Amino acid sequence: MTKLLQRLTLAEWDTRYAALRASGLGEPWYGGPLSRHAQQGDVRLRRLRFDQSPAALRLWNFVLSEEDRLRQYQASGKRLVGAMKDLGTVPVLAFSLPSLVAFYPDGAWWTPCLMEYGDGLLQAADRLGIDDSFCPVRAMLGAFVLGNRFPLPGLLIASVGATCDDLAAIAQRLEDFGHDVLWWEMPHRRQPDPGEPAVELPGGFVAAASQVAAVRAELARVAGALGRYAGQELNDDLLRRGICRANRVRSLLDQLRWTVFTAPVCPLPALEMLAAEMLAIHFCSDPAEATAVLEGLLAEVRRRVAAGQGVVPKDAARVFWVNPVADLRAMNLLEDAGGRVCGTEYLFCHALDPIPVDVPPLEALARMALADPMVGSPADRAARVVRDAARFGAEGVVISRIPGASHCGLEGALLARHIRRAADLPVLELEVPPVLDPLEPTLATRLEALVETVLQRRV
Amino acid sequence: MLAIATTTCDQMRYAAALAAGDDQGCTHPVFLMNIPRTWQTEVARQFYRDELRRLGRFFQRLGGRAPRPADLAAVMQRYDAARQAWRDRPAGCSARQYAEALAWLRGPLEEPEPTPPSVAASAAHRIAAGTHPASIAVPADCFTQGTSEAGVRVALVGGPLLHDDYRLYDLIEQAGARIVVDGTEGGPRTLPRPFDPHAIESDPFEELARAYFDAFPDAMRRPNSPLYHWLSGQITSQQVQGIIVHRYVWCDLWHAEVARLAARCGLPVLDLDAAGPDAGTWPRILTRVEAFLESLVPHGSAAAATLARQTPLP
Amino acid sequence: MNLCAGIDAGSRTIKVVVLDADTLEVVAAGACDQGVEQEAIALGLLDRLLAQHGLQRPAIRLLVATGYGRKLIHEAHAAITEITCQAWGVRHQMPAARTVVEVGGQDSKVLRLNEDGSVAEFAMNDRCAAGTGRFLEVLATRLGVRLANLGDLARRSRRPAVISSMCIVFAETEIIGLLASGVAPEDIVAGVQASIATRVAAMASRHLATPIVFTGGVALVPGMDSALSAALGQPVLLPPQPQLTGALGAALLAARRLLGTLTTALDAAGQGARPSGLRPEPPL
Repeated sequence: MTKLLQRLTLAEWDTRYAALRASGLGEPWYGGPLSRHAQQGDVRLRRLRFDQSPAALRLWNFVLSEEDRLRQYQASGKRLVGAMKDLGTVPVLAFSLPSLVAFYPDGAWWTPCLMEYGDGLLQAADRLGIDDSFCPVRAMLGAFVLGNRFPLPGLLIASVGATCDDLAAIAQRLEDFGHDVLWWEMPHRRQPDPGEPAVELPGGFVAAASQVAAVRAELARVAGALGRYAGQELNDDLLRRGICRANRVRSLLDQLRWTVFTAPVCPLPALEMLAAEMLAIHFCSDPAEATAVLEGLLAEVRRRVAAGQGVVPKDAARVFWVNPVADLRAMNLLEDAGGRVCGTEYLFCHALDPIPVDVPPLEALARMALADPMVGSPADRAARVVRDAARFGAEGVVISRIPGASHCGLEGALLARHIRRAADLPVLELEVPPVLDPLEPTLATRLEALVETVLQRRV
Repeated sequence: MLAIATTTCDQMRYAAALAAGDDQGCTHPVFLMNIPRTWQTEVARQFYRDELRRLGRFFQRLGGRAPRPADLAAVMQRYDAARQAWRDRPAGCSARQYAEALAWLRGPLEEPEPTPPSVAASAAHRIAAGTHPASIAVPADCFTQGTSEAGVRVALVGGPLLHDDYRLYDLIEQAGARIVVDGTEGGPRTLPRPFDPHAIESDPFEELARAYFDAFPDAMRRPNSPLYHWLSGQITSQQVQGIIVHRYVWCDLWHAEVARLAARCGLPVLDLDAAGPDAGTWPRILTRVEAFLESLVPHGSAAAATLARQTPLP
Repeated sequence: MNLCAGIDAGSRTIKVVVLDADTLEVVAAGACDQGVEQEAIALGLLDRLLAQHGLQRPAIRLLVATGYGRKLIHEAHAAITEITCQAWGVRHQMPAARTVVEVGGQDSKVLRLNEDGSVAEFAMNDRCAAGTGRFLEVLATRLGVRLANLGDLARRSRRPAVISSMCIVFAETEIIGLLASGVAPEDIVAGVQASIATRVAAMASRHLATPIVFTGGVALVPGMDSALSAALGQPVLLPPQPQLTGALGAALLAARRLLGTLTTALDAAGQGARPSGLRPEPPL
């Protein structure tokens, strides 16, 4: 049996990095040892274990250097757009204009985890009356107030409606601080009435044509605002090219997910897969580099699959993971418990589907936006999970709740109910806080119990 | 029984999914009405109109029939008259009485027994027979008891109140305040303006949609500046001295507004977080309300007034 | 002598202060554990304190009750919330105080005061034990030490443990785990103190104005003032008897009602009278 590829601690990565450099490793400008990020404040990295490939190193350096990249863009004259809540739509529009760079300020929700609360962002939110009964995305409010994380964007674009109340509340607060927010309506996706014209969406959902039309009109408004901000009209040609670039990233991710999730032996850890999938929503502010990073990962994964190399034992329980985790360490815990991730729904599976190219670009984006699993019913979302779980051969499902997130309290139970009935899969619900250390024993117990259940069902 | 829910908050959206229980073959019809959060665009208005029409189609599928414009206009006028009667109410009643009268206008406080063959037909029958609340003027005996004009003038704002929570009105007024502004979701904040009689005649549906779409300056709207515009006017006209915010514990929308209210309205704000009308809630609320009222008047005077009220000098 | 009294019927302890309304001197003060028969316990404490000075209850001209159980003290002439009474009690002893942080056995409060000493705004936590003295009680029980000795232990800490649990039920489990892994008890105590302080600071951060005064039974635990100061990023001051400020405030309000005179130390100082029976205010 091929020996498992060891996951490395940060200190072990330093040793490996030195060896790679000595053997001629080439790196982009943002390269370097992972440990430097920990020295700069991301201390949580010391508690994680990472894949040992140069491709993974590039992925982490790419993700962890985003704030530097944004500052460089701003300094070079590009204009920054902050997209909020819609995951995957507005950046496609924004990046279609050469002078714009889009990112998600809500990504700051991981900062308290990475800095183990040393960032002060949550405390800043506390002072503004947004306490820990809200989702950890409140760190975004702290980031805007303190101004010591990402450079402040000149335009904020927030989707509201069938989104989530926490973010809507926090985004509203940003207006008080003088930020201009363009609000656009995302309707709750519903089944068409009998006889009502319907449109099939990417990913298999269906929506009323009138809803697609409404979203299209809203995206036209967003496109107009972006064009004025950039000083250049966002026409269909530009948009088609932007969609094409986005689809390249989505295609790479689709191939990566398929290869990793269906391989007999898991070739890439869950932690790196989580980071990689996040590139779908705004390309980590650099579509071209995101493409290169994913190409590198895919090549590495294919090489490993061909060689029969894996990072967890072959008999690891195949787990479908629903919702992103506030503490990245949870992904290590799953593998420590004997599981592997075979399928994910991190709140943005619509951003992993190809954007249609056989309809006008705004129509295509409207359909894609309405395919967001969060804007429809839990039954719809569960149906997608069940479909994808079957596609990837998952044997169990984890639904991780985000503490304080306004949708999680009820939605988790509803999803679990639907999945159990439709797929006859064991489902585990967990709540993962930004630093899970106090709960590690109980979380580990639960994950181990799920793995044991899965293994027993194989007999 | 059927349920009409709205998308005004996450909890209701997911509660509707729970109530629908579509995976269990639930037979209770549930309609989730999509209320736009945005309000400044024609897209939002059109969306609202479409949702009203969709609601109508939902009732038709349950056995109702689409009203003729004249019938719709007649119902709108009866509700309008009932709301006007409420607006013309005598002064000096307790806040709870006003709130209950308004709740009664929006529909019965106690659910009547459902009448076959369909709920929609039953409601139409009762309106036609003149026994539905909308067809009857507000009973005069709603307003028999007066309250004192004295007391600290407060605005009570927040989301919806369960009927058992109406005790809050009494608690606040018995503690020595006067609720001069009811800004809760069931209060006058969300009443539509009087209908335009010409508009009712020419296009009652359009007038209905327009009046209701503009009717609720609420925390859920984006931006929610209309809420503050409404509140600002009320604070000035009613000489409000303090704001009491009632919210349920996991209501993020109103929780997020507490600090904003304090900053934007320039008045003291009391945050009442409640987990529902259980036995442990009321002592907690009472302590906070009393402390808030004690703080609202010049230093020592409130406590002195409390003492004067409670203690004849020995 | 015009005597007034204040009873603070808290959730864990009952405090009584007897005040000479003419001089604002504290004649007697004390505390005892709470129980089921709250009024009997409170009045029993009052009677014992009076007896020490050869006095009896009829000597009390006005009695004000405050605290969680204030409405159960039927003998009291009035019931006023502990928020108002804390403000009065603290300002009497420390006229410049602008924020009061009170941490009791089962709840915590933050009061921001206006310049004239009135309450500008307040926040209360009576839902979650993580920011209250209850956490210290759980810790003391788990470590097998007395509550009063926790401070000494904490002083010996060199590296406070990080207690990140949001709930003391889980925190207790976390403490067991830390002990099992060899973390020194003093570091755990210091970590728990920091955890309580952090929770309180989170509630207080919206309401801060300096100087900050720390009151309540938890303020008596050595080391908690330092922990709170570190969490707030500001110095905190301790009044002479932090557990009694609520009862003192109630007694002061009774005195004011009785005589219609000014009762804050600042006001009294302006008229040449000084409160005695209390330690002098520390310089601010």
